[in-house]
Amino acid sequence: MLKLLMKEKIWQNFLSEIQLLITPFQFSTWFKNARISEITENSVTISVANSFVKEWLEKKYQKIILKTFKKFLPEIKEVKFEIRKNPNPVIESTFQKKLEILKRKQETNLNPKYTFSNFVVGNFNELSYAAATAVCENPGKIYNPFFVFSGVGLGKTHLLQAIGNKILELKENFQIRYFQTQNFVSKIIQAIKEKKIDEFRKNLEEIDVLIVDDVHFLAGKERTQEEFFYLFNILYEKNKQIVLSSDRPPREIPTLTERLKSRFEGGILVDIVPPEYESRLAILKMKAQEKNFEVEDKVLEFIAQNFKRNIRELEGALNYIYCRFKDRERSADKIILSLQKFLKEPKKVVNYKTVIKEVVDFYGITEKELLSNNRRKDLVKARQIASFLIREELNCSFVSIAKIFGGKDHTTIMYGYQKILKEKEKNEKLRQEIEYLKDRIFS
Amino acid sequence: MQLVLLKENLKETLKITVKCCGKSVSFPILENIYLETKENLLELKATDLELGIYNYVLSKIQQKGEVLVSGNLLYQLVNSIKEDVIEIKKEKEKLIIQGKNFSTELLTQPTKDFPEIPKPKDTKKIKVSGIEFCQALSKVVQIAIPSISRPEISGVYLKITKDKIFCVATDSFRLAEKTIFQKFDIEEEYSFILPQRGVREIINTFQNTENLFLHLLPNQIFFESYFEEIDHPKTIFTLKLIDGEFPDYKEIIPKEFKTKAIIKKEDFLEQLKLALVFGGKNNEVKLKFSPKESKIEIFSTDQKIGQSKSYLEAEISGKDLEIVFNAKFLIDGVKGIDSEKLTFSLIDEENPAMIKPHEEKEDYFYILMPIKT
Repeated sequence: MLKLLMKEKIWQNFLSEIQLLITPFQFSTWFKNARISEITENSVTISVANSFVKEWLEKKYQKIILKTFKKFLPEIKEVKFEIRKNPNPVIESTFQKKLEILKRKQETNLNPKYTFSNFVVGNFNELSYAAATAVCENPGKIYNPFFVFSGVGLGKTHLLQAIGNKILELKENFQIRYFQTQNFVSKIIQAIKEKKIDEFRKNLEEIDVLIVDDVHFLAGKERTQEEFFYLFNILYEKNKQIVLSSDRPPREIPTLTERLKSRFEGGILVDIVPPEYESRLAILKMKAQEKNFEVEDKVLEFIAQNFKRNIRELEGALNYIYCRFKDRERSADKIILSLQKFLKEPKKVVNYKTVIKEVVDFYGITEKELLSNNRRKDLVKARQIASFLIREELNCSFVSIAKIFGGKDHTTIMYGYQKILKEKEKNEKLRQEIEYLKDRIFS
Repeated sequence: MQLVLLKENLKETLKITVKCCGKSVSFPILENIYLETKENLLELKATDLELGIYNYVLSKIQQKGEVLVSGNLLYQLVNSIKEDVIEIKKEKEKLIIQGKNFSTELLTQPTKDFPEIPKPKDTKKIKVSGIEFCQALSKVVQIAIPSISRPEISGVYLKITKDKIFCVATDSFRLAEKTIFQKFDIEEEYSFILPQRGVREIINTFQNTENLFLHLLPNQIFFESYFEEIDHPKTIFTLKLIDGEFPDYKEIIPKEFKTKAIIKKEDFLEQLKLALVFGGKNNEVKLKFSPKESKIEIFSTDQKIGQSKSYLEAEISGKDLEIVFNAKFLIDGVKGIDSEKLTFSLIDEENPAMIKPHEEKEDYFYILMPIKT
């Protein structure tokens, strides 16, 4: 009894220390379901839910966990991990097969070209990849829901569709549906208009895997959120797998109801960051191969070095040279020269209007509100961020920015700019938001 | 409205009619039966909007009229009457049903809101034996599965050619087809899908009818039976057809088999029922075919209660095979066999198997998919 209490206390102690060293979603993904199973003078054994978590912790968190324990238990010399024995193993390996022709030709909406075999894995996305493959092998049983978020053009849709296609391959009886959130929204509106909402619900209640892309578009769509909540619960209760993606973590989706936020966070939350150089090169090689486009490594290296923002950019550059050089002489130097020209040209006309549009979209407010004098806290913040971005990225003078915001004093704008500048050093969340916005503005 | 008729006729007719009344909370008017006098006949109408029925009873009509009363109440009432002859008359808003020693009153409903039930037009009629038709339908009807997302398999598919009627149903795990051999004087082939509930009512209504007439319209079908004594329909039953294409099932009928067993139907059925007791929640039963030993081992186990093992003698040709099925599905298929022996043909443990009667006339088959372990 005493030992049990001790284990609990030590674990709590550990958790309170480590949460300061890692991000909240790392904390909830890896440590929420872990416990101390054994503790001796020199070692601690942590029990986790499955081999996937065990491997990940061993590979990536060993050092930091040991360090954390040493802070209050200096004699600890090693940390071990074991898989918790599941008291009620669920063996569901048999299933009734279906007649071939009567296997429902389902409209999954999946594109067969998105698979795991052409999904390049690197440091930037290996966590999401690993969790995704785990989901495919045991849909509905380990990570439900699966929520991945990342900036634009980093492979979310590819990953989601690969999950769908993989499960389709592994589980022949499963019904799978993939939706883009905007599509989902319009389907609901149509069903309501035609008074066929019951049929719509009934259709979706029978599926085994629901994949919804870009759920940040649920922002502001109350009725859809309601339907989504209802559907989510029904599927979740039946242990049906739900896979979601967004351009930001659930907490940051504006006007998303609290109950949906907490449900989205209730499974696994993973992100994809912009790829590092090696991965960019690997992606380019993969895409060139898919297109049967033979091009010197030198060229691909150049692209990988200069197009860093996201995968779509890489693809864009590759397509550009593919189109220009597929029927012409392909000397590496010529291609690089033409790419340099391409880099210099601004790909998109970005002006203050773009900035305002993205800020307005992101924070779920209207342009009118942003440009008004309303002193509501969220509007003030959005205004300050908008003016910060216009100053930073477009180099406009404070006076002209003041004009944009309807005749404010330029000193007000200056004050807002300084404030954001200082805040973003301290506040990780704000920094991330500004990064997202920059991403969206320029892509 | 005033008439006299035999209680037995009315009771028999009500029994069938009341089953076609609607039970919907949104349309309570459908719980009623519409009574209307015709020449020497009382017409009883009922519908639930998907199916509808007209029934006729020979009566002595003293005064014309029409009335709408609760179907259940009328049936219960007539069921309890002991006398042979009853008189029905309408007085103001009440329906009076009386005999020598009793008199009852039923409150009536306004007739104007009762829906129109489609009536057959002068279209081509096809004549079948009601008894044979209903028997064929009953072999397949329980296999269909009501489904909102796949309405085309939620009923019985019928195809009428110049010399056959095919009755087919499936729930995507098994499929049964029963064939009636009969010549029809028709120009083209007809195929349509009847909803499962409607088929059950057809069987109920016409299982003893010798001559049954079918009329087909684009979305509606009519079944008619006639009086022996007069040239007038006794029952007209109408059904809305299911919209959709029945899957092309001929493609899944396996052509070549690796193992074939000829088994006595009754013995097989008995042993399957025994095995079902230990089938567990998925009703699993394992069959082991040994051609050399001419026997089939039937095995089932349920961790919570125990297990059962039995042997069945059979003429087996081909390869040894171990395969798992849903025992209930197997039983359904075997029950469809009328002959003494059946042929059970299989390919392997992942492919469909077929059950057919072991006799000259092959008018039935049942295809079943196994359980994958």
